[in-house]
Amino acid sequence: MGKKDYFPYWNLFWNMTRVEFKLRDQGTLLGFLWTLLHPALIFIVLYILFIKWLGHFIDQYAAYLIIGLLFWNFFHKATCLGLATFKRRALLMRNYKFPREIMVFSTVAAVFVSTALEIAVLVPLLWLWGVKPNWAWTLLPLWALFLLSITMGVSLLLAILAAQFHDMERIWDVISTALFYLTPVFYPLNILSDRNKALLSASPLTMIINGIRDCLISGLFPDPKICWLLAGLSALCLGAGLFLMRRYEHRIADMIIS
Amino acid sequence: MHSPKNSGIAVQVENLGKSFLIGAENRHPTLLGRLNRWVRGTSPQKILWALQEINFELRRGEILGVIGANGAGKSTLLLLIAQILSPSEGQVRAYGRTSPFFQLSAGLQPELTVLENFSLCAALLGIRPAAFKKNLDGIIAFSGLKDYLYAKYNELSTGLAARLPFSTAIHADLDIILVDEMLAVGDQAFQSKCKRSFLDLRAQGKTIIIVSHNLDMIRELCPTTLYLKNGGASYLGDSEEAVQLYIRDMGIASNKRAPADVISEHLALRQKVAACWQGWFRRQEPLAISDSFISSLWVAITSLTAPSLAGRLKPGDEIITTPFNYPGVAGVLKSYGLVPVFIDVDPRTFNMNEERLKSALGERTRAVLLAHLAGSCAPIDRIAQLCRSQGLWLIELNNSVADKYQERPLGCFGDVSACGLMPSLADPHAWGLVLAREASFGTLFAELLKTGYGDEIRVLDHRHDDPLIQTLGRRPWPTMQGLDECQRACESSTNSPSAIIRAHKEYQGFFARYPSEFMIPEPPPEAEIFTPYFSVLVRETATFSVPRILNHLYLNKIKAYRYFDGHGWLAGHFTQSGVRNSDFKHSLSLHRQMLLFPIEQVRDAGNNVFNSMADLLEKRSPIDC
Repeated sequence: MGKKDYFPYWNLFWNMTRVEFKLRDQGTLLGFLWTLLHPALIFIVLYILFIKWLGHFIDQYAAYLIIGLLFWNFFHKATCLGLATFKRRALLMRNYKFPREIMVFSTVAAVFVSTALEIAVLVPLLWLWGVKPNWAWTLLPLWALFLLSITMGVSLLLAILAAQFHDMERIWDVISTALFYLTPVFYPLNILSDRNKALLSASPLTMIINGIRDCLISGLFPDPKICWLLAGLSALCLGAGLFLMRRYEHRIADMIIS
Repeated sequence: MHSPKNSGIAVQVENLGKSFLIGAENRHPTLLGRLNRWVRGTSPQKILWALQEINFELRRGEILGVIGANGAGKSTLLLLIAQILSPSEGQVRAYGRTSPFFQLSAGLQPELTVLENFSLCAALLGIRPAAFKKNLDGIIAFSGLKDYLYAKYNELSTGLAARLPFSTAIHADLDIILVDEMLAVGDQAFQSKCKRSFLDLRAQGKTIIIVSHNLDMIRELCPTTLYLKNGGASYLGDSEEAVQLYIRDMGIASNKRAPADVISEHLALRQKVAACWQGWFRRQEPLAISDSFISSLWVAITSLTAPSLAGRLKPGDEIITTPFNYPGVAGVLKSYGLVPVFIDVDPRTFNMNEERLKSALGERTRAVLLAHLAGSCAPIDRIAQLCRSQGLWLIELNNSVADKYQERPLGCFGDVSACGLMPSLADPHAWGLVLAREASFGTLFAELLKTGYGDEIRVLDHRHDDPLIQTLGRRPWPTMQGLDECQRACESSTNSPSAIIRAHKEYQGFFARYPSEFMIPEPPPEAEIFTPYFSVLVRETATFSVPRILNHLYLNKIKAYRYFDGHGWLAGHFTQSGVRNSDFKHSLSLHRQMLLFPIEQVRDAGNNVFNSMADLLEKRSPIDC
């Protein structure tokens, strides 16, 4: 499919993103507040439990924790929804012909929009906790881009697997729970042994979440090496997803439609 | 993809086959299950061929129909041509933009507005935003959803909802259009609009493939049809032939015929039945068949008010009749502004009496309406003579076509006559006859029966989807079943009905034994009564009340009915109109005290009827309370 043919589907992408966003109760203020409730509650629980212990290691634990939670939440929600996309949209696939990955991308994008809104709520909170705006914040979109593209790539791969295997949802449930603990969402890396620290640092999720924290809280500019690495990883993830999608498109259709 | 130069080919299907893996485990394949199979080296899957060895070529501007039973592979074929599924063997090439019209509404969002869904649907069909904006007015106009743009999509009915994606798809500038039972949900008007637009699209060089169970539509739209059977091409060629083969294979009677067949068959049967009745009445004068007693009366009265008729009935004109009549009669008269003038019945004949008629004649009297109901009969010849001498129209009304007077069937005496019979009280396939003495009434009848609707296809097609047209179709045309009933009634009237006469005699003989309890009608000696009911009047002074008798009969499982209790005349609706003598003693008692016994009951139930009545009358009944 050439670029010229692909172009009209930008419109479809935006349309579907809008629809996904509106439908998940987030078109209204009340719906949005509900989605805020989950991270807020987890935040309160973890904060009360760990402030005394982990507060020793990090200056602004509240800010550290909430940033970790919000972005982890985005990744988790987007991948879980993205994974089930083809099954959820089987009728759409039977009735219209368009590049299937758009459904996954728009699902992720819709979650991203609500995360962006959550961040908008977060900023005044950070201010309250003593975090001052700084020039590093201008690089936040770059981090967002890394996170978005890696999440899209992972979701696409998961969706392709889930179309073939019925138990993918459960498997991902287990893996993502493990990932939650293997990513420094509520604890800092420096409480770990050096070996474990090095291992966990290799995870792109760790890189991104910590990068965002550095940027938002400490006002640090990212290490260009890490940026290149993440850009490469994002491209790899998306590229692999798109390649496999093209390769297995008809097999997926057979599984989903028949 | 572009078509090979100058070939004009739009779709090319070569040795096309599609298989699916099925098997218990494969219904919900799991990663763990797959690992398990790798370890064990087994494969529980079976191959199911949904489609095999399909070959055809379509050029631009061609329409192909696809028919076949459920599971024959029709939808799979469309999915393959749309390239949503890929072939397992062979090739399918589609030169141009395509998208299948399946349940296009499937992808739309019930919670969003209609307008938002138009936009989403356009995006799904790959319409560019600029093109969508340009076409939006046209799309909305085609869909007829202009008033619903801001309603939620799920607030639309199924039929309306289906219009949205269909209208959008029609405007999507697709080169190859694949339609799968899409038209099934739209109403008649929208369906014909869609059919027209298919023909327009074909004229523009678009290629259309229609999958449908609607064989009429396939025949109408597609010159060529592919008949799929168990995944193979059973026949490809002329649509009529394909449909016939399919019908034969399905073992279904071809009861869905083209409207033209239905009309010609209906007209032929109508003529045949009319000829049968003309033979019965032994005359060639106009005779029309309508669908019920009351619609035949309606045709009769309307023809007498026709502007082209000399001496026609005008509003304010009086018509003399008896109150012992059908409830609807006075209503029909009133609806033309005619004034019913009621005269009481003769207690002997239960019908109109010449002397009373004479005394009721007035300045504005223009017609006499003579009703022969419930086995009663008036001295028709004398009344007809009076009408002729006074220049009055004589309208005959009877619910027993077999009755005779002076050896001529009732209905032969009036200037216009309406006859009718319902096979049973609840049967919708009733029929009625309208007769006239003057040949000129023939054209009046024909015009009236055509109705304002004009379109015979619509009027005659009783299986029409539109309930409004169905209703109109039943009025006044009789259904095919109605015509059949009419035919049967003609045949049974022609056969000597000696059994009915015998039954009447038996009833007469029985009730004559209790002169203090009952009165039975005494028709003039010239009359022969073949009414399927025997009527008897319970005297006001009788031992038992009418409800009491009915109750007793009911408990003994004997059928008997009362006459029209709910008559508008009884309720005083018509008492003000042209009443010149308010003494309706006999008519009132007929309405209140009359019982009707079905004639066939004597034949079927033997002496039970009489024994049961005798039990009551001689107070031997065990349930006498």
